[in-house]
Amino acid sequence: MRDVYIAGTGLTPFRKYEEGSGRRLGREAGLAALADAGIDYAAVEAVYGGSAIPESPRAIYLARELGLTGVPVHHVTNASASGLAAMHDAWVAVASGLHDIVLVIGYDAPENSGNAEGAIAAQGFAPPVSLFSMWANRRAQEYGTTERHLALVAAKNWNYAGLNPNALRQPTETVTVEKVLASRMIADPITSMMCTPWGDGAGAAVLMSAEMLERTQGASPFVAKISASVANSEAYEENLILEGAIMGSATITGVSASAALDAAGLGPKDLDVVQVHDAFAIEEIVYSEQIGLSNPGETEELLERGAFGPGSREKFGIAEVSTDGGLIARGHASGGTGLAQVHETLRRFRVHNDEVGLVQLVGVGGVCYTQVLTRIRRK
Amino acid sequence: MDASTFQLTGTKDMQTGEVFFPPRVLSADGALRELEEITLSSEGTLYSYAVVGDKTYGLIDLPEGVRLQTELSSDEPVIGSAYRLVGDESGWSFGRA
Repeated sequence: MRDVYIAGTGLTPFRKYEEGSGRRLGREAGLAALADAGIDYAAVEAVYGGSAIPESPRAIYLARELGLTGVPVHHVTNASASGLAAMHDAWVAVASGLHDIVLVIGYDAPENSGNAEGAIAAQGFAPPVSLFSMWANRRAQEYGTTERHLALVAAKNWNYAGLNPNALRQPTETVTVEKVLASRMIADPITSMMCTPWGDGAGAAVLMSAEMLERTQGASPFVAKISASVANSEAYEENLILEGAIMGSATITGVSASAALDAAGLGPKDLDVVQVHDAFAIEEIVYSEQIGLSNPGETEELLERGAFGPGSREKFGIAEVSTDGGLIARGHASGGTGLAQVHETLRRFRVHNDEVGLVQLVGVGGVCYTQVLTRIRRK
Repeated sequence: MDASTFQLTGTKDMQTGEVFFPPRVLSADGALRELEEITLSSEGTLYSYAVVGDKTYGLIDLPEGVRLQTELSSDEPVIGSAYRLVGDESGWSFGRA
């Protein structure tokens, strides 16, 4: 396989847009990514679009906004992980030698009434929050996890979002643990401020081979190498939950992250910045451990001491997590989320001096995608 | 079948001993062995629960190695307690045993 680089990214704000905004959002994210990569759409050899909601437009209609050039346009869908699924397939296309320049657009914005939460709930008999309330209640027994620990995760992510103009949630003052705990109870111990607000939006990325990266000049000297891209689905294990729209087990993330880090020749302590599927605060605690940032049962105490937030790398040797606000506060535009994670990783490479990032998304069913990105300076 | 005798049906992989609910037709390992229908235990242990609005959901661990998702018909769920299947083919849940 050839090396693959992310030469540029673009992102729209995540918001609740009016119905029928998908094509415009895709065009805006695509234009921003192409400008960042320093190319026009005529140079693009293929498009991979990722969206989750059936009511969102198919990828071809977003690609057509940028040009009618006859290139292959693929629509990839895999629930919450659709954006990283499109990134993964685009990575394969460049790594294999089939293409040298590929545009990825991850998005969701329904053409008419429809939303992600409803789409997931329709596949099972319980709302998405119920499974994660079960995770939290079980973990409370095993590790003494309290609602305060969940609130520490949520407050951290809300406060990161306060610095991100693209975030759906825009707190006007510092969000405290007390404020998170005082928000509406959704499914004990999970309050509304510990849950993703969902949302609409689009992100895009331009993937290139080494040869094309050398022949182009982008907006920033810093780009990313995709050091690993791993896709997996649940393997049988005892007590795997099999019915409904659920994650049957958290171990799918551990398998995925471990394979990705191995392929990149890195370990969890090498990571500077990590983005995970924190749709509900308990997920971030569990996935942080699955990725290997902390040992099982130690995460709560680390949260109390301020780990995973600003300065975590310097103080604890542990990556900062959900630095754009995560799904909890940046929002979760379904297919847009994976591209927001990639965009945020590049931003951190450029303005925060981070050098190694990991992005992780799960999708109900269950599927998982993990990419390890490393900072590269253009020659 | 009346409520007192209603039981859930799963399937079992006779080679590995793995049991599935909802029932699968073929083995999990890709070897395409056809699985056999078995009657599942009606009593299990509550692994965890969630209270969402006026509904309570639970994960029940059955002795066969199955973790199934169900509505709970008893209030104040207790992790680790014994729960028993109630209902019939038109609708079932688990309540405190």
